Amino acid sequence: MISIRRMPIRQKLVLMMLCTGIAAVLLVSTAFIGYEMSTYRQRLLDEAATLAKIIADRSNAALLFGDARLLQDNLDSLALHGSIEVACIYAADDNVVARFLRNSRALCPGNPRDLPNQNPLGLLNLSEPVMLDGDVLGHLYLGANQSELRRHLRNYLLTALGVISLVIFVVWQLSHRLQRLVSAPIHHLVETANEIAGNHNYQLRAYKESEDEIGTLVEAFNSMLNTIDAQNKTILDSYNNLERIVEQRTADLRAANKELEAFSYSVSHDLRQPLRAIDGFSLAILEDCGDQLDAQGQQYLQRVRAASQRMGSLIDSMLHLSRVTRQEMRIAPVDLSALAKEVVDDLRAQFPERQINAYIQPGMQVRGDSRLLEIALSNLLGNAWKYTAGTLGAEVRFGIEQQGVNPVFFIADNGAGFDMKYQEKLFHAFQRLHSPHEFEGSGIGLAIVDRIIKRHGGQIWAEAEPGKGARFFFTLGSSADRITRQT
Amino acid sequence: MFLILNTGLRLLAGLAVVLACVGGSSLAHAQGEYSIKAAYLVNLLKFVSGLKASEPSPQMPMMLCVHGDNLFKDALGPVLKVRVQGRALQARNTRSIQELDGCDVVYITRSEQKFTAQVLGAVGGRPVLTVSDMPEFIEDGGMVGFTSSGNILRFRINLGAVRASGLDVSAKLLELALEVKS
Repeated sequence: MISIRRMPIRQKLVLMMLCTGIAAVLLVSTAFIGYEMSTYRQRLLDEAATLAKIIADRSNAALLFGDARLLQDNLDSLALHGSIEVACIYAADDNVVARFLRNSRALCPGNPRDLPNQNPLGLLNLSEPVMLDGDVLGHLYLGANQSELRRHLRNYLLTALGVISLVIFVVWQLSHRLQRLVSAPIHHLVETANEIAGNHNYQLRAYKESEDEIGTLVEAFNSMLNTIDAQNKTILDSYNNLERIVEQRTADLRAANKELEAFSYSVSHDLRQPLRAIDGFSLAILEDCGDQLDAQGQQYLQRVRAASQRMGSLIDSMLHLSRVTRQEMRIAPVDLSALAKEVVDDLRAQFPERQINAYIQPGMQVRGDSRLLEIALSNLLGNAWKYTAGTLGAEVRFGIEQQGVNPVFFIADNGAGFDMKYQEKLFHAFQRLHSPHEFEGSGIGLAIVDRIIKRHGGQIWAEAEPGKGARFFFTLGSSADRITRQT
Repeated sequence: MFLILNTGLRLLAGLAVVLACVGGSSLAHAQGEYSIKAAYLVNLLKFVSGLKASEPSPQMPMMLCVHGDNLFKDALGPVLKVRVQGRALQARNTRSIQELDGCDVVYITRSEQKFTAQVLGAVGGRPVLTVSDMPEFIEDGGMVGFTSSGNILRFRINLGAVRASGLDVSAKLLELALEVKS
């Protein structure tokens, strides 16, 4: 049985009208059948009583003159009336003068007066005195069966059933058609709503078909759509606006960045010149006029050279950083594991006396610029080499920390580590967490790595404990498109 | 045979009915032919229409004239107590035609057989019922003739004569008649 709640409106309406129609028809039918049955019975009785009166009247002369033959003829004519089973004419002394018995089971009652309404066999008892001029000559008794009544009842019920069925059918058909008056506008509204929701087409409007509550609903619906449409347009407009603004800003930023890079490149280039002069001439003084200087003088000149060399290396680092930033990226599949192995081999060649265990996870494939990635790995692995200098059993590991669409790589060492409270400074240029006495370095390495990772659309971060080593984590972004965007 | 016996008993019953109407006396023993004829005569009258009272008052008793030898004797007495159509019955014996004035019903006995035509002529045209037990009475113009059919008293009716005098007879009576002449 379908739950009424889940029934479509069409069926609900039809069911509603059917139930009402059926209830009405049944009530009316019951009333009429009941009335008919009660009145028909009375009518049959009245008819039989009339018949008795007629027969009695017709028989008074015959009874007076004792003409039994005529009396018998009168009774025999009752054979035509299907309901009469027994008819008896009694003389004044209650002797039966003539009788009509339809079947052998029937009998004339002994006393035609004071009979009950019905005899034990189910026959209706009717008794009528035969009168002439106010004198009672005898009695007529009629026993009527109820077959006529039952037959009538049966026919009436069958007819009623037939009519009820027909009415139910008509009601069903009518309700089936009439329910459209209500359900059609609702369906159209539902369809419109579904289409708008499904296709996000806010231009559509519902069509108002009727002036009733549904019509009002349609109007409200359309008005809501107008609002949505207008708001949508506003949102799109401001989005477009923002897009334009963002583009503008981005263009501005790019231009500014370019200018800045160009500036820093030319600056460092131009700064080189005087430095070379300072260093060169200092060297010349030492070589050519060194014997004319005392030890302090020579020391001062060495310090001048050292300082200018340091400045030169600083400028080199800045150049390097800006080159790394400006350089156009060429994206291709890169085997990080092979790249790392090359870097490690170079480091071993560079520092042959160092004993370091290096573990590189094989099969690490990424998409990126192989030159930039080599620089990044070289810096990271080089750092690991550097900061494990004072560690026995130095170890460096390079692998994937967390698999997935965007894997997280790690480079871990068990070297000097650093204090986590300085992690903000880690990737900034020239910020060093160790003094040059402990570990030498320009302070630019991690800034370069940071730039490279960011250009690949990734992130880099680190964890460490002083004396217990450091772990550097980085991702390389999920889509090549983000990598090509110039940051 | 059984039917005839049955009918005979019914005749007696019919008589008993009349007597019961009179006063609920017990079943009278058959007093013979004229008792039955008397009963029949009175019963007949109940089905004859048009017997108007000769005087203005409709409640005037109906006069039954036995013309000729009164063979009824005492048989008439009991039946005269019956009311016919709301009117009381009276009877007298007439011997001459002049005495027939004021009769509603004339029963001509066999003794007057020779004078049938005169009697009928005297009362003809007036609403007077003529009855007799003479044979061929109705052929001679009489209205109701009693005949014996076996042991049973039957009557024959001359409807033409009845109607000619302004009277009429109920169809029920005609049904019961042995013969109806028009």
